[in-house]
Order: sequence, then C-alpha cells, then structure tokens
Amino acid sequence: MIENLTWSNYFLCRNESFIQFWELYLSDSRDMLFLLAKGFDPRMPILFQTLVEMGQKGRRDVVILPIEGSQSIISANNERLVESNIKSVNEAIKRAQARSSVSVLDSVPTITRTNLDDLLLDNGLVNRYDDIIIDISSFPRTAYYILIDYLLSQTSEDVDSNLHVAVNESPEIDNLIMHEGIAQQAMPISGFSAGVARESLKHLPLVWFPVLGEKRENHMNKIVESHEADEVCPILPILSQDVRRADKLIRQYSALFEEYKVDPRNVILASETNPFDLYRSIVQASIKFQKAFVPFDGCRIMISPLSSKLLNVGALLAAYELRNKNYDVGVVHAPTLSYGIEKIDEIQNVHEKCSLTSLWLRGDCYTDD
Amino acid sequence: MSNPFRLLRSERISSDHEFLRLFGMGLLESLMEKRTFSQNEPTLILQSSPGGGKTSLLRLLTPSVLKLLEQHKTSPEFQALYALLRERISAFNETGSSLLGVYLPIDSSYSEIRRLGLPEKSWRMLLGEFLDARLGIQGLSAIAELANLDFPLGLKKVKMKPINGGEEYSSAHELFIKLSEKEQWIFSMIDHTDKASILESKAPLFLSSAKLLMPENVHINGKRAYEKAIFMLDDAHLLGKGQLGFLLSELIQAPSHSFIISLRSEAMQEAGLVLSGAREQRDYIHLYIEDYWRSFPSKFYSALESVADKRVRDAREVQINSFRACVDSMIENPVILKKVKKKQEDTKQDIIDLIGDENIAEEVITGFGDLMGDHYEQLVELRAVKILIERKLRHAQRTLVPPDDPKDFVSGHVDSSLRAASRLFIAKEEKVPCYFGFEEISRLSSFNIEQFLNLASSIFEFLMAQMSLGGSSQISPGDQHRLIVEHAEKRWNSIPQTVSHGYGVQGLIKGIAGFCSQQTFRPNAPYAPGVSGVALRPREFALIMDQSSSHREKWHKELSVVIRSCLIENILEKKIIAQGKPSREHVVLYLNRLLGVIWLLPVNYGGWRIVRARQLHNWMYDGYEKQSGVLGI
Repeated sequence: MIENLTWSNYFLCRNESFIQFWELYLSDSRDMLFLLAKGFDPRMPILFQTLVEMGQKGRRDVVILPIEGSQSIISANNERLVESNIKSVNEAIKRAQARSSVSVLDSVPTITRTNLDDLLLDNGLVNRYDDIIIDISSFPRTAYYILIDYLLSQTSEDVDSNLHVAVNESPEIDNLIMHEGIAQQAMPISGFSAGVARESLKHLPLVWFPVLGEKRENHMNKIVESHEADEVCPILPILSQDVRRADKLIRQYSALFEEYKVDPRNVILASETNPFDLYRSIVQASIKFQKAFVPFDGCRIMISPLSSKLLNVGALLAAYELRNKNYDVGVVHAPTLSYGIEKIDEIQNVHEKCSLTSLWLRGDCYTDD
Repeated sequence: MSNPFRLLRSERISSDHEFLRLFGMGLLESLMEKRTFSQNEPTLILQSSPGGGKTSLLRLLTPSVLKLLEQHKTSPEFQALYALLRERISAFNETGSSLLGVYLPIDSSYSEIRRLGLPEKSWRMLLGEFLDARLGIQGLSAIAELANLDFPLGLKKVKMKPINGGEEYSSAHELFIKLSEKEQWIFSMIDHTDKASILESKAPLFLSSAKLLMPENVHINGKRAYEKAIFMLDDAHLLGKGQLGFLLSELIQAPSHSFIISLRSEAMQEAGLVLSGAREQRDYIHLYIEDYWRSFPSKFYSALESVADKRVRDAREVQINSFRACVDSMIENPVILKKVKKKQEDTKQDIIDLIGDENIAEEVITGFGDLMGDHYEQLVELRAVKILIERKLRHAQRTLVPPDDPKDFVSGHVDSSLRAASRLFIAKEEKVPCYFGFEEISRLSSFNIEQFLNLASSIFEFLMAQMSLGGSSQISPGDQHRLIVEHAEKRWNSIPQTVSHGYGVQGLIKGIAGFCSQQTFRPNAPYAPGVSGVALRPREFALIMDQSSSHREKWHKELSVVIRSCLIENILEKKIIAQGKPSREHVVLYLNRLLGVIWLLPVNYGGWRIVRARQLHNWMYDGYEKQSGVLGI
C-alpha cells in the first residue's frame, strides 16, 4: 500500500450507479459546466442529454472545444455530423427548459495548453461553476489528456470546483469509426514530455508501460522505433466483457513480447472498467522500479495509452501522480491523423449501445471536513 | 525461429555488433565520393524516403560503432569497412578511433516550440538554444563513449579550452550541467510547467556547443580527445514549420563545422526555399539516396545482394550463404508445367488461326521466336510472336492477293521488353508465376532498402519453415510469386491505417493501377513490357502541388494532399522525363514496383501515359473506367 496517493480513495460510478449517483447529486442546486468536443462522434451529445434531463436546479452551460483532424475522404461527413451533434445539444436544453448557454469555441484550430488559458481561464470559466464535467467521449486522446491534465492542475491550485471526467463507451460505435494515417513518429503528449524526451536523461534506464488495446500494432511499432525500453511492463485488461480479451491481446502483440523477452512478472493486469485500478498499479510498479534502479541514478517511466478511454484515463492519472512526485515520466503515443464514419446509417439507437461512467477527480468528496 | 530480415531498420537493431555485421557498404561508398568530412566542408543534406538507409549511415559514424569496428579491424568480415573509413575519412589513427560522431535525432519536441505562441524572433531564439543544448549534451555523451568514461560523471576528467568571448568551464561535466539546466528550462515551457519566456538574446546560440566541441578545445590528460568532429541531425523533416529553413540558413552562413542533415523528401520544399539562394557544392552538398541508386541501379542491386547475403548467413537455424541461391528461377512444378505445355499448344493454334495457314504459321514461329529454352521459355517466345502478329494485324491493309511471306504477318521482332510483356500475359491468362528470381525481387524494392528487406523477410520466413519440415533449401517460382503478391497485398491493406490520407491514396493508386493494367494488357502490347506510370504536364503538376497558388480549386487541394502522401511514402515515384526536347518534359508518377504486382504490372521502369490531373481526381473517388479520355503521346 502506497501512502500519499491522490486517489488512494476515489469515486467512480458506472451504468446503474451512474444514473443513481447523478440523480441524487443533481437534486441539489448546482451550476455546472460541460466541456464537450466539437466532434462527429454520435456519442458527443448523449451524456449531456442524460444529465440535463435529470434536473435543472442551477445552470447547465456547455462549452464545445475544437479538436484537430485533417480533412480527408473519410472525414467528408464529419462536418454534417458535428452540426447534428450541436443541434442535439441545443434541443436537449430546449426540451429540459434548462437555464443554459452553449458556446462553440472556434477561435483556435485545436486545444493546446497555451490556448486553454485563453479559452477557459482568462474567460473566468473555470472558477464560475460548482462542477466541471469533461465528457471525453468524442475527444481524441491528445486532446483529453491535455484538457484533464490542465484542469487537474488548475483545480489543485486555486479553484474550488468539483472536477468530473465522464465517458460514454461503446465498442460497437468504436468499430464503426475509421482511423486513417498515423504520425510519422511517436511523440510525447504535451505536459508529459520532459521525462522521456530530455537528452540529458537518456542515459537513465527506461521502463515502459504500454496499455495494450486492439488494432494498435502500427502505433506500437512507431513507439518501439523511437524509444529503446530497458524494461517493458505490458498492461492487459481483466474483468472484461470478453473473458479471453487479455489472451487475444497477448497473441496480437506476440512480436512485442518476443522482441523484448517480456518477463511474465512484469505483466500488469488491470480492471477494464476501473481506471483507478490501473492508476495504482502503474504508480506502485514505478515506485518499485525507481528503487531498484537507484544504483543507476534512477530510471525514466514511459506510459503509452493504446487502449480504451477508461484505461487511458487511468494511465493519465498515474502519469500525473508520478510527475507530481518528481518522477521522470512521459506519455508517448503515435496519434492517428484523421477519423471518420463511413456507414452513418449503421449508427442507430446509439443510446442503447452505450455504457456511461464518471470519475470524480477533485472537489468535495476529497475534502476532510 | 529468428528471422534476421525482421531487423529491418537500424533503429530496431539494438546491438552495435549486430548492426555492424548487417551493415551494407554500398551507400557508404557513394557518400565517400561526396565527402571527406574535413573541417570547412559544406553541410551535407541526405534526402530519402522512409527506409532509404539514412539512419544506418549516420549510426555507423557514432563512437560506439566505430570503437567496435576498431576492435574487429582484422576480422575478414569488417576489414573492408575499416579500411574505407580509415583511408577516406580518417576515422581511425594509430591509437584507435579519432572521429567524434555526434548523433542527434530530431523529435517532435522542436515543433512543440512553435505551439508556444511566441513571436517569430523569440521562437527562433528558443529553437537555437534548444538545438544547441541538445547537440552539446549528445556531443558530451559521445566524448564519454569515445574515451570510455562514465556518463556524465566521467566528464570531470575532460578539460574544455575556453573559446574567445565564451564562458569558461572547469570541465566538460560543468558544461553538461549547464546544458542540462538549459534543456530542462526549455522543457518546462514545452510542458507548460513554466510560462513561455520571450528571449532577449541577440543571436540564436545554435552553434555555440559545436564550437566548444571542436577537437582543439577538448582534452583528456593533456591530449586531444579526438581529431575530427561530425555533427549529424537525423530526421530533420520532423522540425516544425519554418524551423528547417532556420536551421539550414544558420549552417550555410557558418560552414566551419562538419554537419550532416538527414531528412525525408517531403521536407525538401521548405529546404529548397533556403537552398535556392545558396550554391550547391560551395554552400551545401545534396545527396538524394533513391535518385543516386536510380542512376546506378547495378550498384544498388549488388548492395542489396550483399545485405541479403549477410542476413541469411546470420540465421542460426539454417545454413545458407547466398540469398540468390534460395530463390529458384526455373519452373519445375509438374502442375504448372502441364499448364505451360497446354498453353504452348493453344498459343500455336491461335497463331495458325490468326495467319490462316499452318505452314506459314510454322515459318513465322521458327523465324521470329527463339525456341531453344525450356517449356516455359518456349511459351514466352510463342506468346511474344503472337503479340507481333496482333501488332501487324492492327495495321494490316486489305489486299486482293493474300500475303504468303512470313514477314507480312509480323511487325518488329521479339526483344527483352516483349518477352517481359509476354510473361505478364501468360501470368494473367494462365495464372503461371511471373515474379520470381533474385533480379525480380531486387527490382521490386523500388530502390528502397527497407522495402527490399521487408519482402525478403517474408520470403525467408517461408524458407525457414520449409527447411525445418525437411523441405528444400530453395523456394519454387510458384511460392515466390505467391509470397510476393501476398506481401504486396498486406502492404496495400495497411495503407489506410499507416499512411496519411490513406483511403484517398488507395483510391488514387487503384485508379492509376487499373489504367496501367488496361494499357499493359492491350492485345498488341503497344508499350511492352507494360505501363507502370502516368505523366502530367509540368505546369499542371505545379498548379496542383503549389500550396501558395491562388488559382487552385478545391479538387486541386484534395488531389495534392494525396499525391504528396504517396510521394512521402514512396508509393508513387516522381521522375522528370524529357521526350526529345526539354520543352516536352513530363512529370511521370511511377507506381511503387511492389504494389504494381497486385495488378500484374511490370517491374521495369518503362511505359507511362499522359493523363489529366482531373482524371486522377476522378479515379481517386470513382475508380478508373476504361477509355476515360487518355491523351495519346
């Protein structure tokens, strides 16, 4: 058991408990800010629709943030889908007769840590609400990593708001989303560069935690090409809907296991539905490695989120924790260049296919009094 | 079983010893023709597609590899390489390795500086400081490696001579601490743990570390630590917008250091803006790897053979010395031979039917075809003769008196191009293999070493499995052909996920390949051995690709991003070809040889046809349709 972990106790609700918690929570008057992505993913408005219908005591403001993505053949329908998503958000507000405003921020092409100051902080958005909910359902990985990390840093400093991260997961919809192209080289995510990219630290051993997910071999190869790990600790999901998922992933990444001669004791099994489980596993393992590598002046930790959004959030929380503890930690991935949906007609009854989860990361439930 | 071809890129070969053993000298020799790496030599710009061999070349000059080579200089395996490096660039002296190769891979951190929202002057300053710090750190790490010192503490033994106007350091370790702090400070801005600062320096400090690390300034125990220093910046195309231009202009203005900049072809547009104001050979040297190989194909194929042989010898489970010997080039499979014999008979009958007289047909066959080879070669000749007859019939004039001279029934003669076309026709009509033998496999590389190693890896994997089951140490032509097509299809299927605008790329390539296939398999094979590229008029190509042009329409932009993507990944190969006069130049886009096999296209660089850009755009979305308005040459 490690002491002084930010989330040694945590709050997570999912499916039925998600509904129960939010119904109870929203029975009080609360001003809430929803941060959504200006994305084409049909899951974009659903979580907001669900929560805005639960109770309207207090404001329900929405800020829709830009996300990066290059134009291509597969993204031809994206603009139309984005418009439809924004329309759904507005309709949900009308239906619920909520006190609400919707702001679509278009002044920048995508969110970076630099422009988040302008978009959120300088506009006073972060301080104004009782609760901030980041719905990461339609954010790409880089964007939600930057956004969560940014708001975790802000809320730990001088903001009293409660910070929630919510996600609406659906493997069926994930399968309908087409991925096109991959970055030329694996790269660290902004905020988590120094630990792995500093030339002056490259003589330190590198311990790598790849969070394995389906169909990410190309991404994995890019990371392997640009970073030479000394220890590899693959992370596999357990308590999964598909009980053989971990076995299948081992088979899919057999080259990785073979090339690095992965010690079976290094394999980490983490609950697919509980990101805090993965968070604790990575932090614990990192602390052990750091101790073991003391004769070499310590080690560097590299985390690669290649799995579902929930597990990737667990990896982010671990990176955040380790960075705060002054570990040399970095998050490295190889981003996909564009996304799109070809078979739009197949995305029907989106509500039925989704599974809602929320994590309460900062605020009242962590205060002592 | 371990497959030595799987270690494709030098980045993936972690052991220096393994890297040295697998290193092919071909490209190095060409580099040596261009440079000796003496001080004041202009910067060398090394350009290629991914997998062209840039990183391998640079890695060879790093201290750990040179030291290892020095240790094994008498080994027959490494003698030639050692001698080349010693004689041509003085990488070694009597005491050992005397060259400090400072290798700095460019990563995405530099482009992050552009995202900080700083004014141009400030980001240039910051980039200069960043490059300087990281180059210095890598240089100090290389010194420690060269002198067998612990890094970084061992640097305390290394003395730095102060340079005019610069700071003084009691040891190289002190310099390391200073550079580390500088790097950490810049990362604190990149990671936003600190606010981005506006720098007030008067000039970027990019070359200050390079000056400090010149041989005359670095001493261990009162002696120079090395005699020469080379600074190598790998993957410079990963620099952000405007940054490569900044880097090159700095280097051109200060040619007193030996620099090699490696980059991919897509970055040459930005580089070109700077280089257009400079003079080649005086201010910089440019080596475009694939272009060099295209000019000397036999050198390339012999380099490939040498690389392949080194890899097969490295396989532990099987005893093989030559890759060429593993790939059989004689068709002996009884099922295929039966097909070949049957096709021979059918083709003979076709020729008789076309001529209308059995005796004249026999005279034509013996007079125009060389029927001395095996059954397959005989069939190739027969099918070629049939093409000659088709050509004649196409232009024949009707006469009252029927012709009776064999010459009246054929046009031209059977040559190597026609034989190559004939093989493709046979493959298409009878599913008889046509891609086999070492020469074909080499040609399928499209002058890219990684593409060759990838393909050879698939073939060798099959061979090892075959031998482990007690089978032959040769792969039959049928299996080679199947493995090559499967490999090409695998590459094709990976395009959407691995290539930028991958779906558009697939659409465009499918269109071009469909068009080439239709042209190749016209009965008279007018462009034997076939068509494997399309040509655009230079003005039209420039209009599509010039991002600054105000005349571009939406479809121009859509097409340009896809063509650019194809060129970056070597899926299309661009060549400027002049027909007769320079004014009749064309931009020819050849299909990657490997992908061409999916449509049974020729492996030679041969025929191309002029098309309009609009056609390419239409093909990208709707596929190729027969006779969609091709212009005649």
